[in-house]
Amino acid sequence: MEDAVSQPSPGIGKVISRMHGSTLGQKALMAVSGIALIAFSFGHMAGHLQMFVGAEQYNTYAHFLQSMGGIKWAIRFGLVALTCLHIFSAIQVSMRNRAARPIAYASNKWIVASLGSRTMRASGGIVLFFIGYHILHFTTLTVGTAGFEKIPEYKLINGLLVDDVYRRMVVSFQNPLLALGYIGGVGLLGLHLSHGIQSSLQTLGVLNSAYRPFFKKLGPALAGFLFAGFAIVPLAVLVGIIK
Amino acid sequence: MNLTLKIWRQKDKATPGKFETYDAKDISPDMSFLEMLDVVSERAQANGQEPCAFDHDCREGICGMCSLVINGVPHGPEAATTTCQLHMRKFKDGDNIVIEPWRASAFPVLRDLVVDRSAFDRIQQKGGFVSINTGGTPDGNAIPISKKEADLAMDAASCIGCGACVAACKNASAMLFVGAKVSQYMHLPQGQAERSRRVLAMVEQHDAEGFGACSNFQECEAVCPKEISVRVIAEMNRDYLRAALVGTDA
Amino acid sequence: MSITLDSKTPTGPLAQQWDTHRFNLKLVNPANKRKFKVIVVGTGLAGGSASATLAELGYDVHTFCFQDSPRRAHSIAAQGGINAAKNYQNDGDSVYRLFYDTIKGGDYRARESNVYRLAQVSTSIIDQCVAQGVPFAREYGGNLSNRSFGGAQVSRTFYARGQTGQQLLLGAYSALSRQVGLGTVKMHNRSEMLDLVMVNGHARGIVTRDLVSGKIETFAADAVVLATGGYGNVFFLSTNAIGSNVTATWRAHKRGALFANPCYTQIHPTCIPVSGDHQSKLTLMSESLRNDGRVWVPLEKADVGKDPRQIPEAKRDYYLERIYPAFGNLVPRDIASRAAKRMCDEGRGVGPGGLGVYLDFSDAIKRVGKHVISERYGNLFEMYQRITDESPYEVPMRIYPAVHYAMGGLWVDYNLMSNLPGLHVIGEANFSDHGANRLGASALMQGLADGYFILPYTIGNYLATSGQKKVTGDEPEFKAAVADVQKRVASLLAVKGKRSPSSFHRELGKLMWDNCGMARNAKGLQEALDRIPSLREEFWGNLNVLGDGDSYNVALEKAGRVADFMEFAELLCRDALTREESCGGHFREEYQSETGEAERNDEKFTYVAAWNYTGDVSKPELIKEPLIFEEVHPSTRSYK
Repeated sequence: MEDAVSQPSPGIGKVISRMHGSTLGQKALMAVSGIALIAFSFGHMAGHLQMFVGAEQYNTYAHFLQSMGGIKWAIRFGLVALTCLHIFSAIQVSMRNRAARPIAYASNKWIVASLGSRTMRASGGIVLFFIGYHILHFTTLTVGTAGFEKIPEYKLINGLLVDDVYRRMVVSFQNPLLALGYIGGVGLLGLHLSHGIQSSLQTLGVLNSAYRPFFKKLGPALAGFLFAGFAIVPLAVLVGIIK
Repeated sequence: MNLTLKIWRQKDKATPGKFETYDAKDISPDMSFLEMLDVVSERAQANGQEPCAFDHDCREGICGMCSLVINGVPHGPEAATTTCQLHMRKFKDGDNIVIEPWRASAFPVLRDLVVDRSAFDRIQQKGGFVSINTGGTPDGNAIPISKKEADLAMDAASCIGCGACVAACKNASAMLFVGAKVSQYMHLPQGQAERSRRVLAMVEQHDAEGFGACSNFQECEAVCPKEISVRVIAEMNRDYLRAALVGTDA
Repeated sequence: MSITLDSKTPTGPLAQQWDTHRFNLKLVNPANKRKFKVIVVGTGLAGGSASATLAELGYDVHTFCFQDSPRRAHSIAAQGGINAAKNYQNDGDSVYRLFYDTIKGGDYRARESNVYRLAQVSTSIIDQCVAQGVPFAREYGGNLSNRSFGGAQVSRTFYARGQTGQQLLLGAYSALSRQVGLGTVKMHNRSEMLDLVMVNGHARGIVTRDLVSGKIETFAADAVVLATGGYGNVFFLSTNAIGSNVTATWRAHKRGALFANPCYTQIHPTCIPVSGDHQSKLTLMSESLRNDGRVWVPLEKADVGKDPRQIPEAKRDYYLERIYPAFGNLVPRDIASRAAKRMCDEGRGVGPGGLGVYLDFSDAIKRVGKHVISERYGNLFEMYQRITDESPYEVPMRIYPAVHYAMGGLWVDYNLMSNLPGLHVIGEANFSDHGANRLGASALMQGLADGYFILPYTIGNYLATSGQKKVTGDEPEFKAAVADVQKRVASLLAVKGKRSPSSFHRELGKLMWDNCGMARNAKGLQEALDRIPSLREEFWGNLNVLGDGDSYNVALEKAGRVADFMEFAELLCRDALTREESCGGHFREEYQSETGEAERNDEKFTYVAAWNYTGDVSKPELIKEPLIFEEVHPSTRSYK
């Protein structure tokens, strides 16, 4: 029945041109890169939640990440590449979509589309900006570092002296502006994913009639969970639970 | 009831159009939307105005020829209903109604509210068929088809090709239309032989016509007069990826 | 110069006629087929299937439709199903039984040989459509599902929900699309045929108007196929699509093609009644509703305005069950229609204008439950509610008969060729297979039989034997036809009177419905024949078409179609007046039994009335093709 089995595979060039050149290919690349980034986000969130365990745990974890060397750079490179792929395909698709309707409706109405789906471009753009700030803030220590200079190195139980990343976080989020900014940033990420998760599954054709209603709920639920996991850290610092 | 209509008027493809306002007085709530337009046109004609052109034919919701974006919604406010089956009792006395053509670069306006939907025909011509000739076919009962699969095929096949999915989509994407055709054949044994070739060719033509990509807004499903589910888009996506990555090169 | 009709009916035993005939048909050499150009006008079941099949065989096919896509043709609106003598249900069906039922249902006014062939090829149609991916309804075991339809005693109707016509048409459209994609069919959308071109006595081309640009064009070919549907819209209100018209066949008629049996028009009993003067078309509700609904009117005139739910059982007249106890609510279409009219004529009709009868589901709901009724008719009930704002679950439906199908059409021989060599006519546009009345689920069967399995063979015989020289479209005949069309378009625009084309159409339709509708009589028909010419005169003196001929002009399109209906209407009435008997869809009040049943006159009227245009619309010449029944002996239809 299946012709795919009996016929020769297309050349790799054709595969690439289809994936890169067609609406469905571009969308699939966006979906795959999106899902990979979502997976990273969950890991990242799990890392952050260790703030609740205490300075020892969090700094140990941070030091572990820092000491990964080549692997660390590979992951960083991978994340940048995925982000670029995600953004590149998003721009490609957006440009095509704009061109597809050159004359707008005089009365324009949304009927069922969710808030998340309607704001993907905006939320994605702001989240990108937010991630940029986040990297400049905690990774390169370029911005928002007021008070960091007074933080001494942290001595782990095993005697190792490491950066006190825990304290940097606490100092930062005791600033209400930064805390609320971060909460806002991850809020938009949550909004982006409230549509992104189910949309990427639909784009990859994973959803069938049986699963769709479930994923329609699961997508926003996961996005909400991610938001809560990220937002709770700055919030806890702000209200003084984490000191 | 009395209404105010703002209708898009355009002489031809090349001439820019504009909205014109018409008073629709003494409209019976029992009229269909198109009968209301008939009446307004007839009166305008008596005043020396050329009647407004709009596509329509069967007026019973099956031919797919009627269109119109009514107050921002393709086929108007009633769900699962084509414009020709929409009745004026769904409006209130004194309402303002904005009537526009389908808007998409792949659906150029030919006149007033009439657009050229031949892009759909061209997509169909690329793969929306089973390549068999007349005659020499096996008995109708030779290949059993489960009721469930036949029903899924029929759900997809009920597409009337009106283009409301494109009109409603913010990206003017025709994925619901293409998906419906792909899905119909996917669920039938007769469609298997050309399964990969079909989905690749139809999507390629869809893109070449200048339709947008699917953002999974699901607006298409909401306005589809035949209530075709976005399931067909997921099925098409899956089949496309499978065909593009491992399928034939045809 | 009277014409003698040769039906080319084969001789020999009925069951072998088609085989013998096919063997005797001349074939076109496969290598030569692409040199033959065939024009097909119309893309419904007949035109779409014929275009695809001819292209598959190798002919150079040019196909035309006035809609924006070939998929819009009105075949799409057929709901119920398609008959085929498959006998899948093992209930005693056979080719012979389908043949017999069709001849009898047509009130013995069709050719036996044609009808037998129709029944024979019916089985291939189902196989063909299944292979195309038409999603017919299936049983759990995976086999095709059947139902009994239109009073047939066997289950031979195949269906795809309530959208059988749509699915079959999309099947033909997919086959056609494949050929367009392969470049073997050149498709001309939004093109309306306005004239037929005759060269050397053969049909060699058409004149069209591009509805978008207004351009008048000619197309030359080796043969022309008309698949342009029926003329029901001569009544203005009908179940036909708004665009359905008689222009192509009427233009061919004026070029010499005989128009056969125009008075055979089918009235469908279950349509939604007219709600007001604004009404533009009538919506059919599937006949299957009569399986569970009971038809009634109030027993007393005084009750017609009352809420039907308040009328007690004893004050209701279930007239079909009363008059036809054996068949009850399931009597054939023509009988049910006329009975409804009689009730309304007695002043017992309900709803606006007293033109409606109740179709009541309350007993069925009580018997099998609302969910079962909803499963069976849910879609139809929703459609009814959308149009009337009343729920059939709560209030009885109101229904009234409406014009539905035209059995009459251009005369064709057994090869589906008209009396004009080269001009072939298929589907509803010809007169061939349904006699005076068509059975439910047979229209789809005939359209596809003609297009897939009959015309593609028979047209080859014409092409192989016609011996005509190639034409290019530059011949004087083409130039003259273009000039005629241009003149007609210009004269429609030149009247510059006061009335819109629609207002004339509406007036003509009302006149036709009142005088030549469900029941006809000599006085009414004569009156119509007197009034139509003067209405036509007013049309040409007071028509108002704005805009010009060189652009998209909806009023101009409409005016041209109405102008042809104005002429055709007269022929329809004349045929009805001449046929002094009641048969099938043609009911003459003078010819009925004491109980109001139709009375045929086999002695005088067992013939096909084929009308020849003489140059004067009001003076056509009647040519008779006698009908000979060798297998089935005409009897009186009885459903009591």
